[in-house]
Amino acid sequence: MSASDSDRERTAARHLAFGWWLVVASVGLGTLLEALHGLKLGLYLDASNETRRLLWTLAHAHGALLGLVNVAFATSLPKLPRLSESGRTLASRTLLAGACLLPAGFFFGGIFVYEGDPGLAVLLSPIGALLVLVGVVVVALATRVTPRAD
Amino acid sequence: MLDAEFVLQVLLVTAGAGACLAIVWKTGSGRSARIVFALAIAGAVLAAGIAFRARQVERAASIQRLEREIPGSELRVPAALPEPAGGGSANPGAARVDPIEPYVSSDRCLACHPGNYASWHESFHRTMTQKASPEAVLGRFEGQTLEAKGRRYRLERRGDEYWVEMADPDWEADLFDRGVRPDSVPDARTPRRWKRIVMTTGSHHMQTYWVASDRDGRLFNFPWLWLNADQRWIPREDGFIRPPDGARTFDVWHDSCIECHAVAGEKEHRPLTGWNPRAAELGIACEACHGPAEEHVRVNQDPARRYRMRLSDAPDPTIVNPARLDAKASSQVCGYCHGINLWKPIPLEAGQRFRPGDDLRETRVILRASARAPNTPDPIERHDWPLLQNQIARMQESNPTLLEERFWPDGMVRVSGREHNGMIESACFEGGKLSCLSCHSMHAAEPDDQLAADRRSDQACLQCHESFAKNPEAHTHHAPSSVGSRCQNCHMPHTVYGLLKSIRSHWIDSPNAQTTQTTGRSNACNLCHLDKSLGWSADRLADWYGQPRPELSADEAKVAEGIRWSLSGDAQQRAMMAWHMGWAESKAAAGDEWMGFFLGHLLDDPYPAVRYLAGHSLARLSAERPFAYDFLDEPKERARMRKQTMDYWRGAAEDRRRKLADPEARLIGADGLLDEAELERLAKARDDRPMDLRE
Repeated sequence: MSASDSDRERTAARHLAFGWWLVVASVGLGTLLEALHGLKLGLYLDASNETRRLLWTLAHAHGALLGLVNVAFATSLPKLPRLSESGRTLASRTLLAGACLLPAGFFFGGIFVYEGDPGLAVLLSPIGALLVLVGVVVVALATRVTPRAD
Repeated sequence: MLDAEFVLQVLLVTAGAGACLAIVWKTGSGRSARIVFALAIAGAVLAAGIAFRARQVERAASIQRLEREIPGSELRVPAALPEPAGGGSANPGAARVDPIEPYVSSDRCLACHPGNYASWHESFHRTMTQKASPEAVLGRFEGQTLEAKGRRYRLERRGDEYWVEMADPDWEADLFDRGVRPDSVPDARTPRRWKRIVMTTGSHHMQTYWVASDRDGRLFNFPWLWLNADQRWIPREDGFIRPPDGARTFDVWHDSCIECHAVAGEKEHRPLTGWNPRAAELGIACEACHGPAEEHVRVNQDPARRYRMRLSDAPDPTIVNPARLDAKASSQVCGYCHGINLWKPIPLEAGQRFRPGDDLRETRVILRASARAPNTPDPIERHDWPLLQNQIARMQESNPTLLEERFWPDGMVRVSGREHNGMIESACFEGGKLSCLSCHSMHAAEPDDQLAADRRSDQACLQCHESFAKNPEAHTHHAPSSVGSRCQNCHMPHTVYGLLKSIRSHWIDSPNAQTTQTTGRSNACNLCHLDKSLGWSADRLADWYGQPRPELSADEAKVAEGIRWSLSGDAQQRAMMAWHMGWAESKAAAGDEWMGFFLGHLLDDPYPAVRYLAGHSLARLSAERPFAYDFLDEPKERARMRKQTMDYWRGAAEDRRRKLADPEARLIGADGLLDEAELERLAKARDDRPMDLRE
């Protein structure tokens, strides 16, 4: 096994673990949100907290989805021979950082809300979104199929 | 809305183009073909966007052109209403709701202020005026026929629409304009029409309805009220204290309702098309209290600005927040509608109107009739005082009872919905601290009375008068837990009438026997202690607070106030007594065994409102006894019910009144029975001056 293959495996293992744990956290958050519904808690359900409800729902959904994106990245790595080492590093870092920042921005932005506006922590979300975008574009470009010589 | 539509359309076209491009790339056409195809798609997207936008602009311009060239033409656009099977007119809709710059409507407030929007949405302010729909209409339209004062009305529901067959209101309006009472023409000789109910007013206690003119934008009142608590129809005039032999009311929405029951209501009369009332929004919505929000919405599309404002304590200069205004200006936001104000006879610029945050006194004179008014510390009102006197004198030439219809003789407001005029007479208000928002909240209160949750108790007063909290009994001379120790019961008694009930006065004052004697307005002591005389109250007020004891007549000194006003009072005094005999606090303080007899007497009162209140208090008093009484019954039936009820309660009244600690208050003869002659004497002294309260 070459050093590059070894790095690739380490990267895949890291994303597999990160992805599943992010899914765990997001499903946990989803369960918590269901409990808030069940208990009819005003801090989540009152009309004046509609923004919080929206943001936490977004945090839950994005966290779960981005967890699965990381799992998909991990399982895709062996099938992406065109992904260079630098590309892999860039994709890995941006997907990890983005998958943290995007749901975190929604979640923390929902803690302190100003009527229809989220708290300032929501600024993390667009940064995370850009990072995820960069990561998936890098991976997507690596999936291009080379035309056959014949 | 159209902008969102525009964006959506462009997004859809872009998505389609993207899919096409993907297919082309996938199938691997030549490079130049791909570029040409991509450019074509981009061009198509651009063209579609430009075309859509152009259509919007053209449509707006077309409407403007039409309105400019044919004034009022929008009224002629046939409404999409089916011709009813039973004949009728496909009327235009409710009052026009148009974009009126710079108003944007409450829909635009929701995105940024969901909590405040929700609390407003729960309120009765929102539902004050609504387009008629199954969600809005509370009354029953199930084929019944209503009759009153020689007029007949048939009600019908057709799907989601509500219809009434009635005398043609346009024809009645013509009569009214010629000075002929419409109800003076027999019903059989009136042209009849099926009219669709297009709009509703009210939703809290009662609801009334409007039908549209076939000729212009006028809305005529369907002259019946639906009483929510009773789930029944009553003639509209019977829901108010009006002279019982008076004419049927004939109300047109834009005459006065439009001022306060809609946002930015406007009425204009054009020679060709007649009246053309319109409003930015029906009901009392966000911009009624916060002012027009167009600029506020525009500048706050910038998120950086929003966060700057959110994170600072500075007020947003693009919107009015009544809670940030000083007490006077804040109260004027409410007082514009919850007050009696006269237009100032000054030249007004076109479109000039009161807006929240303005000084109400720039455009209006606040009608005051109290002895305090000429000496008000307010320089503007002092300056306006001669002007007000002049206006009152001029108006009294055509309506001599202008003030009596609205104020007690000492200038205290006597009709509901005019709380601002009461509050400004209070010493607390003159001190500069008290405002409507001292007790009420529009966004953190129950819709019933909009009292802030923490202002329902004495806390409302103790926030300023905290010294009374330590030992209330020393001040109230009642046990601390007693209703006699509740601040509002003594300082804001129910001396205002409206909506078929007594309502708390907002002129915060103290009970005074002399005032009761000179004004005829019962004091707070006797409104609980209905079984005590004015003399009894005068003695306590003298002992406890050092008030001089006025010279009292024999009846004032001896006869219980609840009895004296029930038998001898004017229509409002009788209505107040009838209501208080059903009020839990009065019944607890005065005992209720004796009340049935006197409530029975009021069952045959000439005023429907008095009979209504007496019937309700009596029904509560005799819950165990079947009580089939309708306050709208014919006089003969009412007299029968009066006699039957008084006979039933006579024994209980005698038993109870024999036990009274104050023997002077009873109407009981030497034989231990009710003194019929005395009762007859007091009843004959009833104040039968016609009373027309302008609530």
